Amino acid sequence: MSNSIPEPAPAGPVLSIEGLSLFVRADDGQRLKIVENASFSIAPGQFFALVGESGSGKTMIARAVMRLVPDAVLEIDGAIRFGAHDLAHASERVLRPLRGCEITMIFQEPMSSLNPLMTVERQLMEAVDAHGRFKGVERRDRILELLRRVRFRDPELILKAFPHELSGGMRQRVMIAAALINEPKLLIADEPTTALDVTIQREVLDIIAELARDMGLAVLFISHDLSLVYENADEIAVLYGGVMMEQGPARKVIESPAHPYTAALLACVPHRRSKGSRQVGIEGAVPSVADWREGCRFVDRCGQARAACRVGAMPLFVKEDHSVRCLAPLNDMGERH
Amino acid sequence: MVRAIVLRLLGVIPVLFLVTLVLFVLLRLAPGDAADLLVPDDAGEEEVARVRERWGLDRPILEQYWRFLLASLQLDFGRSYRYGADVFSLIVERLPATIELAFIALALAAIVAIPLGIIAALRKGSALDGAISVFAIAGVSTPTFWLGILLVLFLSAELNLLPSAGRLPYGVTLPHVTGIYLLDAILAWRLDLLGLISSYIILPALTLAFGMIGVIARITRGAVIDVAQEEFITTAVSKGLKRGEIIRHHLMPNAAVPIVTIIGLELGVLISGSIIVEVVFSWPGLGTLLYQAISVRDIPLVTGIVVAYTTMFIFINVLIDIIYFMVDPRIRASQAV
Repeated sequence: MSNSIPEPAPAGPVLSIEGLSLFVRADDGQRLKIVENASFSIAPGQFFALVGESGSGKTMIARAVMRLVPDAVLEIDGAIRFGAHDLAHASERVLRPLRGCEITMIFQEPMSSLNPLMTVERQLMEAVDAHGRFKGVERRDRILELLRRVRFRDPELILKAFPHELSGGMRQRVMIAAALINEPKLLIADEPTTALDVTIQREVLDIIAELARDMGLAVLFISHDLSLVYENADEIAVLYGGVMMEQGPARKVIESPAHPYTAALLACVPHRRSKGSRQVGIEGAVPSVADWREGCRFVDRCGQARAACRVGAMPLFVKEDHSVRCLAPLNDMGERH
Repeated sequence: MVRAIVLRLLGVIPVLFLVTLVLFVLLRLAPGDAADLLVPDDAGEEEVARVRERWGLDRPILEQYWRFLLASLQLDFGRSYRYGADVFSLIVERLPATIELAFIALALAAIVAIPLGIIAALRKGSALDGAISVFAIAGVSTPTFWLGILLVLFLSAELNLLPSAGRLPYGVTLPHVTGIYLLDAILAWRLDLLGLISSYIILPALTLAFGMIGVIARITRGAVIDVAQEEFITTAVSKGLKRGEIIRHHLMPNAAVPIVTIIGLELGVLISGSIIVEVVFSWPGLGTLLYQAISVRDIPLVTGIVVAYTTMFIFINVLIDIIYFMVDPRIRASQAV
């Protein structure tokens, strides 16, 4: 799609999440808050890593952006701004043309995220046809181009394959091709490498980072593994127990983490520890939603915890583009907000 | 795939062998003597012995079975004691009526049950879902003979809406080509008869279908609910596909295997289940013939009909296997060796 008139640089963020709270409605009618007042924004072309342990609410944020969870199950409070739309309150008629075209998504389980009864060609063609950006013979060329760009040496052969004939890594690359085929503005990658072999994880991540760079694509990359994302990420947000603990440019977050939780996560990154020392973890587990009390959610696992950490809401410290929600940040974070 | 089908068909031979052996032995172990039924009540010992010899009943059972096997390979199942006619031609004459009834009943059941199951699954937990479940359970637990008699009493005898017995009124004739009247009427271009023929089929078909609707609807509901939770459905939504496209291309093909399985099983049950319904509606099919044959201990005829039922049952299973191959590439792959 060559365009002779250069497009003006889009002003403002691609995605802007403001005061987002998520509530899950359980079968017994209980309404549980799983994400509390989260805000962040992703600039065009930015690789934004959202990091958190399982149960932190990161996947639910991803699915809320795409509105993939039925309203009866997930209640969204706050705003999810994408262009002129507030996705949090948009109707299906607004959402459908955006999904798969402006915003696309890849998932954790490549083994189950492709339809087992359809060839790769049909599944890719369907993604193209749903939005009509490419027509006629152009469609097949586009599909082959994308398959080549996700590093398939023989794309013609892959087209005819059924998912069960492909390895996990190959399937995830097919998913990436499908996600990028309509030149979206935002790609949401929900732990796309977690289910893969360690050796293939890096390759899949590289493909995503490389294509995002080439296409000027903004990426919301969700991971439980800080070590995986810190090389590629421009921006890192750390989520714990549904609360944004720390957020800032990747370099700052990694080099001078302000939240004890971020620091603990970094201490777990294998190659950052000194030779001969034991692999460390963080004692304890994320409190389940039912156990949430006032104060800091991390308090029971925090080395710096004090009595005041168990009372009231935690303050937000903001220093330039780096923010942390903690009573006693690890380094000078300037003014309380 | 061809190889797999040929193997399935070869597998039919030992099954038929076993079925005939068991049947042969059981029919002769049963109390009473066929020869007694072949002679008038006042016949003497001598005459019974003569009849026995004439029908080969005085030979050892294994020899009888061996002669039966050799003959049956040439589709010679002997002569019916009761009708004196060739068993095979009696079966061929009656078979089309049974097949016609079974397929109409199955088509009726599938046309009603599959959409009901889909609706119930998509509106899981709604009042409609509940109503469908109640209807399904009522269908399964209603005895066919009771329902058949009720329909005859009410719709035929009381309201005089539909005929209660036979396939066509006395005097109406149809060129006999396939023996399947609806097909024959079309072949002879007597489209005016289609309505009349249908009016005779509808009650027995409805009686047979009623029990199946519940089973097929429940299985469809379960299959659709299972598939709807699969990750590739989320992928399809995230591609921006329309709801109808997702149901047609992703949901239903993947739910098809259990639905096809239950339809195949039901068709097998149907063929034997139609015996009672055929008797209730005096439907001149294989079931009525079997009923008459059993009541007069017409051993060659009973044997022949049971072999016919068994063969049909097995071929339905082979047919279901072939449908699996067509639907699911994974099953194709597993059989390709």
